[in-house]
Amino acid sequence: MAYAAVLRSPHAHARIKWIDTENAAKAPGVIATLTGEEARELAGPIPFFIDPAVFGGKTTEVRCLAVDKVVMAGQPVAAVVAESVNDAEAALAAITVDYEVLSPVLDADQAMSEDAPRVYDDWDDNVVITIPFVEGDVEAALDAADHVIEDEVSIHRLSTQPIEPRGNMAVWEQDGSLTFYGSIQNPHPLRLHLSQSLGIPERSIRVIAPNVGGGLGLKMHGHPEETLVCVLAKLAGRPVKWHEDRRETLLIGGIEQRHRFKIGFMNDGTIVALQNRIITNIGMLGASPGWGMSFLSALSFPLGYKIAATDVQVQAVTTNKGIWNATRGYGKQGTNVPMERMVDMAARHLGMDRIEIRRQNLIEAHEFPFTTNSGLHIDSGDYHGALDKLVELIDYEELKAEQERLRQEGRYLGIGIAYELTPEAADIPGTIVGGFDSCQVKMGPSGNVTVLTGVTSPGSGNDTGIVQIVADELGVPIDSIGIVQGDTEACPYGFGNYSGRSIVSGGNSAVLAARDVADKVQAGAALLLEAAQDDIELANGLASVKGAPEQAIPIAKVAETIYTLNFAIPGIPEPPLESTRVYKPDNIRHTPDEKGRIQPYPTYSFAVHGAVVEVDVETGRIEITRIGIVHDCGTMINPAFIEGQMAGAVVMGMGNAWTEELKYDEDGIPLSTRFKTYLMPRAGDVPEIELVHQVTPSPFTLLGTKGAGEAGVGGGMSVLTNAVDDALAPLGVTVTELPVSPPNVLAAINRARANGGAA
Amino acid sequence: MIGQRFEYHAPASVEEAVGLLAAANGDANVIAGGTWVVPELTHGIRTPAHIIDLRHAELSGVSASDAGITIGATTTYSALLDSPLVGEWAALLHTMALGVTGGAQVRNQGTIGGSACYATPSSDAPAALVALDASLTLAEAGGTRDVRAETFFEGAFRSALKQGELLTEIVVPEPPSNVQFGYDKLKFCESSWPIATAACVLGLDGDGVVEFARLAVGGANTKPYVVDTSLLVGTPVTRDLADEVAERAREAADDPYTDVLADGAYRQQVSGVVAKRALLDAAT
Ligand SMILES: Cc1cc2nc3c(=O)[nH]c(=O)nc-3n(C[C@H](O)[C@H](O)[C@H](O)COP(=O)(O)OP(=O)(O)OC[C@H]3O[C@@H](n4cnc5c(N)ncnc54)[C@H](O)[C@@H]3O)c2cc1C
Repeated sequence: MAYAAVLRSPHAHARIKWIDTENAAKAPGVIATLTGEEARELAGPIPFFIDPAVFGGKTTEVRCLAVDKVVMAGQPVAAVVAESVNDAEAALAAITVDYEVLSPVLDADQAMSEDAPRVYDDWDDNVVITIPFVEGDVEAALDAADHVIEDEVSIHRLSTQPIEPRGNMAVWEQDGSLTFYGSIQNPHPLRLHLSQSLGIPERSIRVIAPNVGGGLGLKMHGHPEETLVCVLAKLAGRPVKWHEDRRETLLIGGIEQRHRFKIGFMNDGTIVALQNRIITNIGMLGASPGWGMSFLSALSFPLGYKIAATDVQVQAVTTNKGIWNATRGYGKQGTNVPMERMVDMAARHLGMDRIEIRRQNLIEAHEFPFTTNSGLHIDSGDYHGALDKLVELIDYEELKAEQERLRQEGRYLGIGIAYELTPEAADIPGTIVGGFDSCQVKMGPSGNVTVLTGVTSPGSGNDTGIVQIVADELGVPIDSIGIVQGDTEACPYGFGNYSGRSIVSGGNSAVLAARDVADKVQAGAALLLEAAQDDIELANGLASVKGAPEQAIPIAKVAETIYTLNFAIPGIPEPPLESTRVYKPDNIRHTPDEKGRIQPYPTYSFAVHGAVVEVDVETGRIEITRIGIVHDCGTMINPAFIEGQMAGAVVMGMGNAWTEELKYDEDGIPLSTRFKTYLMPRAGDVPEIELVHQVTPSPFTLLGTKGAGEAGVGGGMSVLTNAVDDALAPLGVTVTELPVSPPNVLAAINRARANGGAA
Repeated sequence: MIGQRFEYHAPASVEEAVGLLAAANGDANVIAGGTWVVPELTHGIRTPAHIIDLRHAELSGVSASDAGITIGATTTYSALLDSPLVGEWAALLHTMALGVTGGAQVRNQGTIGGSACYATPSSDAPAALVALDASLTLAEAGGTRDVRAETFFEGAFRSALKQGELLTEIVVPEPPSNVQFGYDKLKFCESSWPIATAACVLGLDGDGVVEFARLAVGGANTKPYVVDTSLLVGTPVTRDLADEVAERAREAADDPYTDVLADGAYRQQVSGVVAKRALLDAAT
């Protein structure tokens, strides 16, 4: 084994004049060095996970090592392979790069100005894509509204940080085939993309994703280091491993965006119009799917609110900040936060209760399925039921009374309320973001079962969930089932992990495959027990006759008989007891409707959140004292996993909104380089989470499941922001800027006080 | 992973350590717990030719002396917490050590001397040492000298330590029997560095009247500073007086520190808040 280290650009925007690796090549332990020019001879461009060109946007060629120009600080420019990580890292210092430093453009608004530096020399401007979603006559609706609020909400640049950073290893076999091991989320699609960038057949590549220590979107591929380790391993003539440093993980960001909006509403609280111009700062345009979150931030408006006229437009802008990758929530937090701010702003303007205004505007249970203005077809829901449960869970009325009491004492308690919608299990046409997935179920002669899936687990427990589903269908004990995920050679084709899809697509395909196997077992048992197949029940490892439990045979015996006495017993089902099935959820529509809209999400989880914070108005510090959630992801396979996912997501969302921020200096150099400068919440920062499940099954998925795992991020961000806003309302503060970090909160208080306060 | 080569030394005494330090002629790094140094080696911020590890130089431990209590430079936060002497005579250091984040790993590894020598504004020990009017003993090949904490800290990441010098011990004068301590630390969340700290040493008579007061603020300026508390002497601590002290603390924050977590304006504004809170904490 040999180890790789990557030399990264110290500049946000610069031309590479020349690179000299000669000294590095002679450094102790060094096996090979590589520059961008050299890599270009050995590998093609990295294919986009989602190419903006597919949607009419601009695109660029992405290479594993920069050629000619770097467009972000931290972009890989050269690499070293050595006997040890230490040797490889030490040798980086011996590489000389001559840069012509160019002025960077870091702010998205500035990047859109006429005279801004161009991130990509051959582009007319820095706008990657502009996507409008218009429904109804918004100008007229705003004119007709009793009230209009015009304001902005901005969300800062943040990141997702799995416990285990990224890691890749490439092994070339003597026959020219390649085995790639990676801490990744999408083995099959990566195989295709590696074959394209490396110029070798897809069949010659095996991708293995072993147990992954957290994905969170960060490990969706398109990163330079995937192609890079393969090229380095070829050069070195032995397996090469690269494992990322936390500083490298922290180069990758997401979400940064500004919403400039007008919202119109009537005296009774009915929201009638929304106009919103969104600008996202996607940093460097890379091949990983991050930039696409811009699309979602616009598409998801107006969530489950019934607003007759909406005009939402997003512009994704490239700058010399770090690249985006998917961050759990995939841009939907970019809808949830501003939308929930707007609803609260309207409520405050009218003096209306914040639960009431949501009741007034959310889709009612009897109106589902419901088509939103952007064409999303929301499968099912009971938002009002969830609001009722939340009011009870947090004892909302009592909380409001307590808030009033504490205000008299000069204490600033805030009650946050937020509704959250999470479109899940996406299928984006023309990309390898697939909405269906596959599963193979195999029962051997011992009755043991192996399940192979196309979905992977980032540690969320979907493997256990899928095993539970198969155990239920086959009536065999859980410990007789094994599961294999993340191996392109063993598993049926699938898309891996993203978009809350693993149980929706993976779980339901397991149902179909297990039912096929169960069918054969039932047929075999029927023959052996001399009963009708329809009367055979499978449970507790036994096949028994309905109503006559003493007439039973172990399922393992049936399996053994099928495999060993197949010639002896006429009519017994044919082996193998195996089936591979794909599950394609209903409710996805790719043919554009008369308005040109498609419907890429089969199912829509949701939650309502309540949080209580106390703000120290002298320091801006907040204390989170209560978190209450009512969550609905349809049918639940394993509530414990859902609770774990929700707890993780909501705390992640709160950290995103609170103290996590990727900051840069004026030259575009990252300042948030470790967990002491990028502050993630710890257990002591949050109270125990109070979670109530509501179950509104999806009519469009086999088991009625919706996605779980992403919901909570947008909700956590929104509810914390709204709680801080509520706490500071008496001071005249309206929170429009995230994060709600102590310095930002104190600055908002200072500004409000300078303006004379007054709520 | 540390990307550069260096020579590692583990001297068994102060003499040996200062000898190695002199021989290295500036191209050496002393490490105590290494909780600052090792990450900086990993990030390539420090690239010394020699690492001089003090953990075997017999510099750890707490003892009583005529001058007060003597704390060895490599005494860890855990050792401070376990020391009955510290609990009895310098409870302020106990409270300070209790608030150090990073869990048992950092408390077992990080040292009070390391925090002092690094002299970062984002650290707990400096203001506490200034409030206690501690004295720091610095040794070099030629001999030793004592420096008061207040003058030891010269700015952000700057101290009175000269090239070739080591911190060997910290002496905290024995406090009068009527002393009360107060401590306040502002951090953003569990994982945050301290943003501003304040430590207060208050002597009260039987009626709660202040006989003496010493209040230091850390993290606000580039170095810890003493707040003028003369107005407290001869009167009980009241809210109004505390507000007055807060104002003085804020005025004294005239060289505020800025880093990625908080800018100078923020630190200046909260300096008065932590000062007031430490004072009120000491008074109750
Ligand atoms: C996760 C984490 C959390 C932390 N939380 C806190 C916190 O809450 N509060 C806080 O104050 N700090 C905190 N720290 C910072 C640090 O751990 C402490 O300040 C610690 O006390 C530093 O001591 P050390 O012995 O490890 O220093 P080292 O890294 O060994 O040394 C620090 C500096 O001092 C020099 N030095 C050390 N000893 C001597 C000596 N005797 N003579 C001369 N020079 C010397 C070194 O050369 C170096 O420049 C944290 C660190 C981490 C990693």
